Amino acid sequence: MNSEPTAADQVALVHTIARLARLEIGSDEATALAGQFTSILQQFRGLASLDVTEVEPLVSMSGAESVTRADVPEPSFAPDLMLAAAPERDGDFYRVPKTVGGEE
Amino acid sequence: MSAYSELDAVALAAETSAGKRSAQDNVAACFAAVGQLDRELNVFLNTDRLRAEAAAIELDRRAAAGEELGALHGVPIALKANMCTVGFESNCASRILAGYKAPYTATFVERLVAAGAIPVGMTNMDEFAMGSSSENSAFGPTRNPWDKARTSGGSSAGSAAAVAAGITPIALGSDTGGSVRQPAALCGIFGFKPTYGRISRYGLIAFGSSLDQVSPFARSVRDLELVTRLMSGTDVNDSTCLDEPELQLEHGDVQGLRIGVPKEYFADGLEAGVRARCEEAIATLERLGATIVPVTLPHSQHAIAVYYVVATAEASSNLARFEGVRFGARVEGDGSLQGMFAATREAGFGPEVKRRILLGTYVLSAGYYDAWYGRALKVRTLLRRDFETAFESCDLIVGPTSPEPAFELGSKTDDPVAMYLSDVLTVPVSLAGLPAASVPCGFTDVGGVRLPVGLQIIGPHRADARVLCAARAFEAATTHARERAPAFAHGGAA
Repeated sequence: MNSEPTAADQVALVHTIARLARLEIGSDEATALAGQFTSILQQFRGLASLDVTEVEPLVSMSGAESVTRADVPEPSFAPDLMLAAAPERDGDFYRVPKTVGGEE
Repeated sequence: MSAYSELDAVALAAETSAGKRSAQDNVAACFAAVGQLDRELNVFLNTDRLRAEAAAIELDRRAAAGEELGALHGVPIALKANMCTVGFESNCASRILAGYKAPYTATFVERLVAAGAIPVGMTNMDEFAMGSSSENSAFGPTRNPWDKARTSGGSSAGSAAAVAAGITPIALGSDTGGSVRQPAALCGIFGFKPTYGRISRYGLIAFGSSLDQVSPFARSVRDLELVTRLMSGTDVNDSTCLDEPELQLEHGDVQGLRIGVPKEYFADGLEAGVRARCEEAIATLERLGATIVPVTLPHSQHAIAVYYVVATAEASSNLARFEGVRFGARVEGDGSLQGMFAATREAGFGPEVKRRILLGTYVLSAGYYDAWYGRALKVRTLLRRDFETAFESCDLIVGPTSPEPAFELGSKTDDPVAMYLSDVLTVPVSLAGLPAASVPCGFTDVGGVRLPVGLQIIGPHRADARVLCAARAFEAATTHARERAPAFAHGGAA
């Protein structure tokens, strides 16, 4: 976070991040986002000035108080109910494009 | 029979239970107000009058049969559009969830309905609760009942406006970084974010899971208490839900309480009227018997950065589930599975949601995780310690809820950073998981427009009752909350 990437680096980074985030963005949008990223991260740079070497991260708001329930089977939602919101279904299954032979 | 819009939920339920009015009268009055105001304010994304009338008929039948009635008997309630409620479209003001109807009802909604509340509709919001003005809604912004050229805040904009405009006495929002407290302040009503975990999140569509908290809006503190109490309690479907004792108010005043005033919350940049009203409010609390003590929250300047790293990281993970397979819209893309995911998300998410997903993915990605997300979690610890240290010398902390009153629509939309700074006084509390209320504390004149100001009252972890006690004492000693917005549902004895 201390290096100064070029504008082209930033645009390339936005495209890489967009791919990781499963977002399809155009080149104009990537250029705009790269500029916004730079200004947002610039605002956040103060974080780097703090000494946090002896500080534990705050990862859970409820601490060790996690509530559990008995490990017994309970009724679950009917398939028809859960599939009602699906854009495409095939019987009791969600229908998706073919995956075999695709990328990644 | 008093006018529907002049009553708070406690009074409305009492009159309805006593037979002075019926639940059907209340629903009719509510929808008369919807007809009068919704078009100009853009409060609701969808309403269901038939469903509300059917619920009212059943409640009236129970009353006629002499059955036991709940504490919210016959009270219409507005719900934010990120709350799963069977029969209603919970679309989070996003195109990606257009038409989405949840297969189950959120625990907190079920508990209010069991007490006699009648959901009437789902309110407008910033898409997936990401924003401070509702301008990130895919369905246009909600307008402020005090001045329709201005925002009613965000992200729970429609719920705040519903209460401020007298359409419903109570409404629910969700507060992740201030999304209930800030709109409550900007609309001149009460809002309360309980301690993180007091209320089950089951059925709240997730944005930032370590921050999200269901929070009520109301025109009286006793309504905040009632709704919070009814929603509280453990839930087998939310392992982060605290086993809190019943919300018992310790006392009805601030006599003897030490109230901390952090200098960081009165820094440069506060609008002059906001500063003056909050200073007057502090003087009022002192007059009521509180001792005012200066405190410091030294890491406050880093709260916005920590918040926008943590919340976007959590959002990038939570919103991964919207990919065109199980809910909402689908765009085929290039015909491949990955292409369908990307095309669906590109078409379905608005610019701010995409910006935050990208930012969150960035701060979690290999090579950047330690510098951003890992570091932000450590600074979050420092922010929480700030509060713990301050609360060693005081019982409550007060300051402004928002650095400025309602701003004009369009005035910040080109600058994400300026919009993020709207949350500067509310996000530290969220990051520490503390309870905080926003209470009306007067008005400021901006260019000839009279706009409400909110005072934020912050308590230590789990001291929800103490916060509400102070809010109640302040409410009783002042008249600000009794003032009505120009766009208020007047008329109709029903």
